[in-house]
This record gives sequence, structure tokens and C-alpha cells, in this order.
Amino acid sequence: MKRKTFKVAGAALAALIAGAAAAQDVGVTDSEILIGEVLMLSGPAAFIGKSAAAGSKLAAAEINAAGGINGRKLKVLYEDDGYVPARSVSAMRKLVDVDKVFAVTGTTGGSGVTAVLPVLDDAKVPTIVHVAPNPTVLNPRRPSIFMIGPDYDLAAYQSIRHAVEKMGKKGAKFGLIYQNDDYGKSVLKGYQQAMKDFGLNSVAELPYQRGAKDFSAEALRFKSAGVEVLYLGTVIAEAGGILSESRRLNAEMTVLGNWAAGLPATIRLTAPSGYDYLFNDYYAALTDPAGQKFVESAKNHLSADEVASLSRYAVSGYVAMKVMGEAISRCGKAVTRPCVIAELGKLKDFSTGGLSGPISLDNPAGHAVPALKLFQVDTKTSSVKALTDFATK
Amino acid sequence: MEYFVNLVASGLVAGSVYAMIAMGFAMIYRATGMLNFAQGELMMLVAYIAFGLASTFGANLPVLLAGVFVAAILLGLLIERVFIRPMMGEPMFSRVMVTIALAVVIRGVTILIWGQEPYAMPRLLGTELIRIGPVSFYPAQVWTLVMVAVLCVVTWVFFNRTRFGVVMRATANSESTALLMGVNVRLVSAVAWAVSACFAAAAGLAFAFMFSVEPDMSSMGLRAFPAAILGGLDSVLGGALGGLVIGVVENLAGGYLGRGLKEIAGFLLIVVVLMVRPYGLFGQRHIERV
Repeated sequence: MKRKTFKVAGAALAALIAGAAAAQDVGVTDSEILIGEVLMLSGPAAFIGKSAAAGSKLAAAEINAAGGINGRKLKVLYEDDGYVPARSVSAMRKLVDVDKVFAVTGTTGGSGVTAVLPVLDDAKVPTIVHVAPNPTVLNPRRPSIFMIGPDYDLAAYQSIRHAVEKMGKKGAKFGLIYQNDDYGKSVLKGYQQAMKDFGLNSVAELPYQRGAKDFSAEALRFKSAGVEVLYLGTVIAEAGGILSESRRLNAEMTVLGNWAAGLPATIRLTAPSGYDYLFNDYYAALTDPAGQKFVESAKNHLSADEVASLSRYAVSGYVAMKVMGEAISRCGKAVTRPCVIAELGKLKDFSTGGLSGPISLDNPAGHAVPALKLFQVDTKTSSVKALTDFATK
Repeated sequence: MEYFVNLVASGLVAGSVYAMIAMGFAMIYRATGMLNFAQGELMMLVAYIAFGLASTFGANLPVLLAGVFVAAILLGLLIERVFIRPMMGEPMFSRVMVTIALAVVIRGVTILIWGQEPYAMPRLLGTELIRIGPVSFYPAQVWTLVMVAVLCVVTWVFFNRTRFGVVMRATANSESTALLMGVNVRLVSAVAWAVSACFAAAAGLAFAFMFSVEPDMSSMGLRAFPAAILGGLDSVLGGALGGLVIGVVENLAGGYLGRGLKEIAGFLLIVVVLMVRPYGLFGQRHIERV
């Protein structure tokens, strides 16, 4: 009897130890799960990083307020890289090697993303890239790294498709202005694909160097080429420059852009030109019903400064954290990196409550390409209105 | 022809900003023999001050102009007194390094106060287009062209028709001789920095009204540097002409060649000109007998 009791007790102890070991992967304790983010909280793109951080903080706060994930609270550690790739790497190393985070949901922007991927890949950290989605993240495929967001080529393609199919611009003269870098080349690719697929007439495709301020020559070239539909492959301030000069030349055009053209700062600069341009995004505007709900929740959980920083990048950070939370919760009590990576890879049609289309990562690339939604800028009120719902076409 | 005229006109407008920054470079070089690499940052800071006055305090145009130029003069004097004067007599390399450090400090402080996002300047100059021949201008663009013309005239009068202007030229020619002749070199340096800051203020206002107010606008300082070289580093009026020439060349390159050549056209021009005239179009040729 004694021997039997001893055996049962031993088995129970072994199970407990095994269970505890399984539940306590790096960055996981009985009460807490550590998540890391490297973002550009200072430097030229700080407004993106701060907004993304506010979004993920909100998601974590909501999850924790609802009791956490299977009893464990999320704790998010933020590191600032100042938008400098060398700092991105050291910041990510600190999170992974020193702070020992379990997962990563923020991986900075620009070339900093590419720079941190080897660190994450070596340690097999479950990672979601969302701030600067670009094809190099998933090529080559790194099993622990997932990405949310379409590339800019799809955005260009879809809005040109809309112009052709819904706005009757099939016979129009098209023009493109794009930044002479990876971002711009991606836009160019989508634009040229649309020209080819829909049999359109592109009369001007003009690159500009990053940092350009004066677009008078470009606007004049578009005007003299008779451009009727202009696609903006610009970042923020450049859109204001090109549209202001186009207005000076009295150029009547339909103007299209991607989510960079829908940022509040861009709209502030473009509004005086009076072009009520269209742009698409895979996230809701903060003025959409889902966006308003998001802002209300932020007011309950975040500081006034953080609420003021909200933008589409906050929605991006929020969605990424919710996706990671969902994958962790599906692992139950045994939260391990392999389990979370497997669950991320199985995620299909995850609902974000209207903040985006359904998120699916269950594809060989581990790439969620949410449906895009079309918006139009109202220059009189400097606001945006949704023209469509999230749709793949 | 209309296409060409439009390119030249808008090139002159863009070149006006280069011109005013280049005049600031030349002003300090002429008076003190040193290069101020913080000229672009100074322009940015003054533009932000203008933006603050117009958007936060609702200043009208006369108040804005008065406030901005007073602020610029004070800034110029402050920089000279705190950062430059203690370096007098030190090697030129050290003095130039101070201006580079100053650029970083100004940029950091500006971002600390106003953040990174670009802002649109309130349209105090109006938005109704002004048609001159085949070219339409925004009021801000005309204002910029007029501002350069006024600055050129005032500068010419100052250097050629005023006693202090002659004193500044003499100091630039030989600081030690000027000292021996009883020239107050410290005053000359202070005035040069104050006037240079006014050039930066004019450039900052022009940029803000035509484009936007953003930290990245400080890069115009480096973009305008070739204009100063082209005109001749020791020629204030040459700097103005250099700026206008580079603006037009860039626009013609953008209008006729494209392919992103617009931004490098000015630098290519500099290489060619300096091979022929190493001291710039209007710079003084220094000859030493050995």
C-alpha cells in the first residue's frame, strides 16, 4: 500500500514538474507572459512607433482586464530604436537575450525589420511583423515569423482596379509618382501590373529622391502629359507638395493613394489643394464605427498622450497583439513557443471586431493579407469617409 | 515654350529658398571666415517659431514677420555669444565642429518641442493664384521671389554703401589687420550671425509657406550648400545667384530628363563649374606670391 501510494505520489510529482516545465517556457511564469516590442519611439518615424505602442498596450490592457490569458497577464516591454537599424538589432537582442521575452509583436520599420529577423529566427521567438510589412520578411520563410498586412503593390493594384471598374476610368491617362526606394518600387510594381492587366494607358511614371520638397517639375510633366488619374506612391509631406503644384497648374485629376495618403498629417498637408483623393487601407479609420469603439476603449485604458497618438498604426499594433493573444490562449496552460508558433500557423479568419477584415495566417508564407477598404478624403473638413467595406476586390 | 517658361519660373521659386540659405552661409564666411553647418537647422527652428506664432497665438502677417525676425536676430546673437565667441582664436576645424554640434542640438530641441510630424503653415499670404504671363504663382511663391530680390538689394547697399559693411569686408579680408586698425571684430562677428539668422528666417518662412513645417526641412541647408559654393563662398550676392541657378537647373533636369536626376543636377553643375572656377562664380581669387 505504501509502495502504491509512493508510486502515485511520484507520478503526480513528475506530472506536475512536466506540466510546470511545459507551462514555463522562456518569458512565461504562472502569472505572467512577457511580450517584447522594438519600435521607433523617437526619430523621424516616432509618430508611427508611438501609435503602434499605444495600440498594443491597449490590446494587452483589454486582455488583462478580462482576466488575462488562461490566468496569466500579458506584460509588454518596449524598446526604442530611433528608426536606426543598428539600434534595432541591439534592442531586439536585449529583449530576447536579457529580458527573455516569450514573443515579439513589434519589429520596428524600414530596414530595421530586416535587421532583427536573424535574432528572432535564431531564438525561434514567435513573432508578428505588422508595422512595416514587406516581402523580405517572409522570404526566405522563417517558421516562427508571421506578418500582417499586404504589400504596397496590392494596394496600388486594388485602387486602380476600383478606378477602372467602379469609376469608369478605363480610357483615362494614368500617371504615377513614386519614391525611389523599396517602397516606391513596390508601388511601381502594382501600378504596372494594373496597367497591364486592365489594358490602361500610363503616360508618366516619375520617381523622386527621398527628401525631395519641390515637385513643380513633376506636376508640370503630369499636366503636359495630360494625366487624368494620378497614383501617389508618396510617404507624407510629398503628397502635399505634388498636389499643391498640380492645383497651381489647374490640373483636374482623380487622385489615388495608399494608407500613407490617409494619415492625418498627410491630409493636413493635402487639404488646401482641394483634391478629394481616394486611398485604401486594410485597417478601419478611427472614425468608422469599429474605430470609434476602439478610441473609446483607449480612453479607458491609456493616457491622454497615448490617446492623442492613435492612428491606423495603433490599430495595427492592437490587431497584432490580439492575434498573438489568441494563439497563446489556444495553447491552454502549456504555453510554449512551439505551440504558439503552431497555433499562429493555424489561425484562420480571426475576427478583429471590424477593425480589419478577418486575419488568416494559415498559409505557407505565414502572411495575413487582410481585405482592403477604400476611403475618400473630404478636403473641406479634412476628414475621411469610407466608400466600401473590407473587400478583396 | 510655355513648358520651358513654367519650368524656369518654378525653378526660380525653389531656387529662392536655396538662395536665402546660401546668402546666410556666405554672410558668416565673409565676416568670420568660417562655415556654419547649422544654417539649415537655424532655418528650421525659425520656421517652427513662425508656425507657433501663427497657429498657437494666431499672429497676423505683420506681427508674424516682426516676431520672426526679432527672434532670428536674438537667436543669431545668442549663438554667437554662447557658442562661437568662446571659440575665437581656436583652430578653424574646432570652430566648424561647434556649428555641427549646434545643428544637432537645434534639431533635437526642435523635435523635443514640436515633435516629428509635418505641419501645414496657416495660409496668411492667401491662396488666390497670381497670373504673370503664362505662369501662375501662389502668393507665397511671389513673396519668396520678392524677398530674395529685396535681400539682394539691401545686401548690396549694406556692403557697398555703409561704413559697417566696409568694416565687415575688411575684417573678412584680414582679421588681424582689422584688429590692428581698431575694428571691433567681436561686433562684426555678432552682426554677421544676426544677419545670417535673418537670412535663415526669410528662407524658413518661405519654405513654411510654400511647403510645410517639418524637421526634415533642415536638410535644405546641405542642399543649398552647393549654391553657396557656386556663387563663391565669400560672396553674399553670389550665393543668391547660385541658389537661383541651381533651382532652375534642377527643375529643367526634372522637366526634361526626369529619372530622379533632378536632385543631383545641381551637384553635377557644381563639379563642372568648380573645375573651371574653383573659387565659384563670384568668389575672390586668392593669389599668394611665393
